[in-house]
Amino acid sequence: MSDAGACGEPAGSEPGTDAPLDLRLGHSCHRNLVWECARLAPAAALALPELLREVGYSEQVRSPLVRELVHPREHGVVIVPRTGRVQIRVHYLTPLEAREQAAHEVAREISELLTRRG
Amino acid sequence: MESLKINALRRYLLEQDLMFLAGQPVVYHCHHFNLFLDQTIDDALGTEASFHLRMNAAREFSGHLLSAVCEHAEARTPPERLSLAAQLFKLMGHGSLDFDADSSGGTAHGSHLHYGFAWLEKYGKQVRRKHPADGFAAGFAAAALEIAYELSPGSLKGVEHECVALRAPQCRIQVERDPSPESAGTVIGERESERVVGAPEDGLYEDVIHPIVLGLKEFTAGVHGDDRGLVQAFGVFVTMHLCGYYNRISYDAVAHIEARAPQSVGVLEELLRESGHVCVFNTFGGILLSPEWEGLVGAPTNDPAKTLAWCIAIGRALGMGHWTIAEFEPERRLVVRTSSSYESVYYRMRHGLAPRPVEYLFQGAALAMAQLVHRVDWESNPQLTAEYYKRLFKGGVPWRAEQTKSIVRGDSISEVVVTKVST
Repeated sequence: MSDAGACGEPAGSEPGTDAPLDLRLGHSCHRNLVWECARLAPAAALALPELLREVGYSEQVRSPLVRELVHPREHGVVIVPRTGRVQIRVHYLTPLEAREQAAHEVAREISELLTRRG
Repeated sequence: MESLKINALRRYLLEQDLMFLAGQPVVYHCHHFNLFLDQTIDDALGTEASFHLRMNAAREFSGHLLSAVCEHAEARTPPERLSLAAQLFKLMGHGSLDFDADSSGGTAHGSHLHYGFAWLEKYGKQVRRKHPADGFAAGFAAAALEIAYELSPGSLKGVEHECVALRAPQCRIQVERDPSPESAGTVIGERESERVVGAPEDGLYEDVIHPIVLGLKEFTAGVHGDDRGLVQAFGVFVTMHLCGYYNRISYDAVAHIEARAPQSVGVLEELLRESGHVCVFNTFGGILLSPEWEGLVGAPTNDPAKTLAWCIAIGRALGMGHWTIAEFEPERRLVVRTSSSYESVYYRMRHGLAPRPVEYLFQGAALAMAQLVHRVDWESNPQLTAEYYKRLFKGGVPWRAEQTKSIVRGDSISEVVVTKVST
C-alpha cells in the first residue's frame, strides 16, 4: 500500500477562526465540493438530522442507513448514523473560490447546533 | 399525461446485470468517463467529424429511447412529447433543454448541460476550449423533434452554436434539416440483448457480491437529476446514459481509423481501454469512499479480496454486465469473466463477430480494478485527484491485461486475465 494519495488536508481556516468540526477536504477530485467533518459520537450523529430539519434543512429519504439533508442554499449534509460520519457537499453552482467558505458555514452551523443541544 | 417516473421504466436483464430504460440499454457513468471518451473521439477524428459522429449517435439512440418512452406514456401530441423528452433528459442527469421549435426545426436552449457544464467545472480554469462540448445534447434535441413531429429518423440535425464550455452564459442548439440524413439503424434493445448474452455463472465471493448488488440497485433507483437536471453523487456528476451512444462513437471511430490510418488503431484502442481506468478510478473509487457506501456496506478496507468483490458488485449494479471473479491470487493474478456486457451486445448485433476482442471498457476496468485493490491505501481516506490518477496509471503499471475469451469473437463468455509484471 505504498502509493497512497494525499490524505484530506485540513481546511485553511478563515482569519481568526479554527476549522469547525475539524473540517477536511474530502475524496472528490471535483474541486472543493466534498468536505469531511470529524466523526461524531453516536448520540450526536443520531440527533443531527432532526436538529438540521428544525433550522430549515429538508431530508431526501433514500435509506435509513444514510441520512441526506439539504440546506436551504442547496448544500448537502450526509450523515451515517452508525459510524458518526458527516460529509458536507457544497452545491455545484457555488463558485470555486466560495466553496471552502460555504463548507465552513455549514460546519459551523452543525457545530453550533450540537453545542446548543449539549 | 402524468409526470415521468424514471424508476418505473428501469429494469435489469435477469441475472445479467444489463440495465434498460423503456427497453433501451443504459448504464451509469460519471462525467470523468464521459469527458474522456468524447475527448478520445475528438482526438481520433478531429473536432468537427467527432461532433458529427457524436450528434449522429446521440440522435439515433435517443430516438429509439424517446419513441419507447412516448409509447409507454401515451404521449400523442408534439407538446406532450417534447415535454416528456425534456423531463427524461433531466431525470437522466444530462441537464435542461427548453424547446422553441416546430416540425421544421428551431432552437433548443440548454442549461447545465452535463458535458459542457462538467467540462467547464473540470477544465475551465486551466484550458480554453475552442469547440462546443454538447454533441450528445445536440443529437438528443434533434431526436426529440423527430419523435414529437413524427419525422423520419435522421432527418434533423443539431448544431451547437453557443456552449458554456466556450464561456457562453447558456448553451444554444439549432435544430435544422439534415441535408444528408442517415437511414435508421437497427434497434438494439432488451430482446436483442437476450440473444447475445451467455449463461450467467457464479464466481468467487458471491456471498459478498450478491447482496451488495441488490442494495445498490435499490439505492440507485432513487437517483435522478435534480431541478437543473444534474446528479451530484459520490463526488462526481452521474448520468444514466445510452449504451448505444458510447458503443457507436467508439466502434465507428475505430472503423474510421482502421480505414484511413491503420497504423494508429492501437493508440485509439489503448485510449478506449483507458476510459475503463478513468471509470473505475473515479466512479468506483468515489463510491467506495462515499458515506453512502459506508452506511450501506462498510468503510473501505485494504483487504484486496474484499475491495475486489466490492468493485465487481459496483460494476454489476451500474449496469456493466454480470462480472464475476474466476480467479484471484493477491499480488499475482486476477481473472474476471462476464456472460454479458453492453459492449458485446452492441458489437454482435451491429457488426457480427470480430476478429479480435474489442470489449475495451471491460479490458480497462479489469486492469484498473487490479491496480485499485492493491495500490490504493483505502483506509487513509485518499483523495481521488487527477494527480493521483496519473501516479497510479501513468508510468509503471505493474499489471498486464489480456482478453482471453470474447463474446464478440464467438465465445460464450468474455474473460480478461490480469497478471503481475515487473516494472
